[in-house]
Amino acid sequence: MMRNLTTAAEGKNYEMKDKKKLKIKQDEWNPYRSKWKAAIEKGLNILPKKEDNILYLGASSGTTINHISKLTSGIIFAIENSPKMAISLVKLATQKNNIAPIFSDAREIEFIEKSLFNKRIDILFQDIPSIDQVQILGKASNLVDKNCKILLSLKTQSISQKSPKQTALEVKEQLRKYFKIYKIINS
Amino acid sequence: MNMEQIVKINIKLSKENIKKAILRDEVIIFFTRVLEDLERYKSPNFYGRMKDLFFLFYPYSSLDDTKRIYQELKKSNLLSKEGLFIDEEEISYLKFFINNLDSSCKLKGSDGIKEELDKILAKLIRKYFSNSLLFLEPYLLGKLIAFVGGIKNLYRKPASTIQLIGAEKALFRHMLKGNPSPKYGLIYYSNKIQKSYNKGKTARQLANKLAISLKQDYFQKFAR
Repeated sequence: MMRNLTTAAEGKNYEMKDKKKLKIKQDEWNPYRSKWKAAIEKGLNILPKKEDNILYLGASSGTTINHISKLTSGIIFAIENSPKMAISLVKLATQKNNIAPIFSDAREIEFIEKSLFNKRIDILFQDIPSIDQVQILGKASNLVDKNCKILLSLKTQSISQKSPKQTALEVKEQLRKYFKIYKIINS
Repeated sequence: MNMEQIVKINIKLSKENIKKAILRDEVIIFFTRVLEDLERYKSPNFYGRMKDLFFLFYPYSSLDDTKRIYQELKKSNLLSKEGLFIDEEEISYLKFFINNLDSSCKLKGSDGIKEELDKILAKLIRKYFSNSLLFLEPYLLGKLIAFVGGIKNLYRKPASTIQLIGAEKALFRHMLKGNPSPKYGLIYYSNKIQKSYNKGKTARQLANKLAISLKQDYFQKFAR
């Protein structure tokens, strides 16, 4: 449960009373709507600290970003390709003050690098269900430095029609050459 | 760079890029959906269609009430800075449709309006899809574009997929249970297939021609 300052997020919203008996609105971070919250319930302990900058590939209409923007005071760069989803993302960004929407394909890193303005990025989140999901992550990792934490949500059915365990093993072999793998969580 | 400046520049840049990405085939999709409604129901009301049209021109507005939106559309001149941009000819077509609606958002009584809307759709298709018009009727061409949600999704598809658009239920029944495979989808109602003796063969030939001509039309009129 987190304190609701400006706009209500998706899901249930509650009203509670403070110690001084003032009304507070709080809303729930639902694990069935957000993949980051679902990973936390399974045992991941990565959350943004104060003044962390985040790069989020595949932001969609911004349900997860709405919750995360309350935790940090740094900038969140949200990238989205479809115009209908990007319109509601821009609507959200005008109400908050630390979300920067970027309307572009995630493969064009030259355009993304211009709009970052040399900010150091601490957490990179990737959520793009497509065939070349691993190659996109490889390209985007040129934008960050050594100490960055990377979260990848993998959809095995869009990569190949084999069994999910086998595809996950193949992807793990590819990633092991370049990255240091910290934890793997199964749904 | 300051943090507020970075956020402001990115919002301004992405608003400009979104405006370029909204194509003019949305007007064609709107008119075919109106004609589909008139076929299906006796006297439909168009509050839902008006809401779709309003958010094409003013995508960042915070209005929610449908009756309020309908009154706002009657006043406005359909020239927007942030949304879809169209020329004077298309504005006059949309104005003609909006002026023929009464206070409860239904069509006024006279019968000639439906034929007039058919003519408007034929003019729009002749303007943007002059190559594909040689093979298929304008109403069916509009139905194909509206079914997949825009010309940007349609022109990339291969000929065998265009042949079977609209017959997904029969196709998956064939793949799962082994029933005989479908030979045509929405294309079936065109004049060429209705006349021909061997219908499966004609549908394959027609879909092959369409796949080439749709690519011609997209790169002539829509691509930047």
